[in-house]
Amino acid sequence: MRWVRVGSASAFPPGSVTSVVAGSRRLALINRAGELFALDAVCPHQGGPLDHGVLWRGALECPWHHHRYDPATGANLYPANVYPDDLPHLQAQLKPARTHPLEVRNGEIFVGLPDEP
Amino acid sequence: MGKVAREVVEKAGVNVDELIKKLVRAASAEFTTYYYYTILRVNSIGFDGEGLKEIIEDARIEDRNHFEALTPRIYELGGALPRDIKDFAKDAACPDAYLPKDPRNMQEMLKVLVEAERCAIRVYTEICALTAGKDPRTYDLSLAILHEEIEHEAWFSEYLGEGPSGHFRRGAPGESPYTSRFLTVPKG
Repeated sequence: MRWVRVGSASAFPPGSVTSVVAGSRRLALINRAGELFALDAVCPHQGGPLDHGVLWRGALECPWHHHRYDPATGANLYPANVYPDDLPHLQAQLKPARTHPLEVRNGEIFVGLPDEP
Repeated sequence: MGKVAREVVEKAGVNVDELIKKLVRAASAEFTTYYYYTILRVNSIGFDGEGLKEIIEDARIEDRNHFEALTPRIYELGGALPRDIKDFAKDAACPDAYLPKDPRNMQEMLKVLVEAERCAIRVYTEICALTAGKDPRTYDLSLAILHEEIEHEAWFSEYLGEGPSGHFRRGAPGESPYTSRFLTVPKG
């Protein structure tokens, strides 16, 4: 894993969802009430721009189809909470968003990305 | 397509292609919700007598009305509904409102209903925010739909014990008190 600086922590106020580029990846950088998270910007549902999403009730919401993700784990929260488990094919729509480790060092944000070949 | 109708919206600073995508997704969500609410309604047997069934019926028909009201605006702006209904359904702005595994569980059904309405509220709030002061026709239409989605949420939320809705169900099924003036075919 390599650590990539994406900006100063002060540039990401609480409640914000910001598009950042780290290496070859576009990420959604989220400040949820002071907690910072980094997720891949591409929604695992249908490729919507999560970096243009909004925080709603603590979850990141995709602007295209309004799936919601836990910024900490990437887990789908909605519609996972209402999709019936007796229709197993629906699980393919509930893939988690990819999260990346994040550290703040001296006020600067670094995101841990997988090594590229 | 209304050439000037589109041009004035573009000149006001709206990305019309993005707006059309949002309107098509919204129309799809209304169309699919109409379908899924039909299934929920026929399965809401004996929930609070027939009370919940009547409310689902109002929301169901009003969602169909929303689809009817949105469609002309999509074409006016130069957009179109997808030729293939499968493409249309897949692009709905909100997830499908599936019948719960146990259709006799009223709480599970209400959870599906209230989540669907809350999603719709966010969809139309976004469109209103995007068009406020820039595209009065789309704003007016979206606001009318938003009024009805908010009432739908409140009805279902009341059944979940989250507090009074503050209003009563429609005088006639699917009356659409706010959206009916946009309908070009008889409502309900």
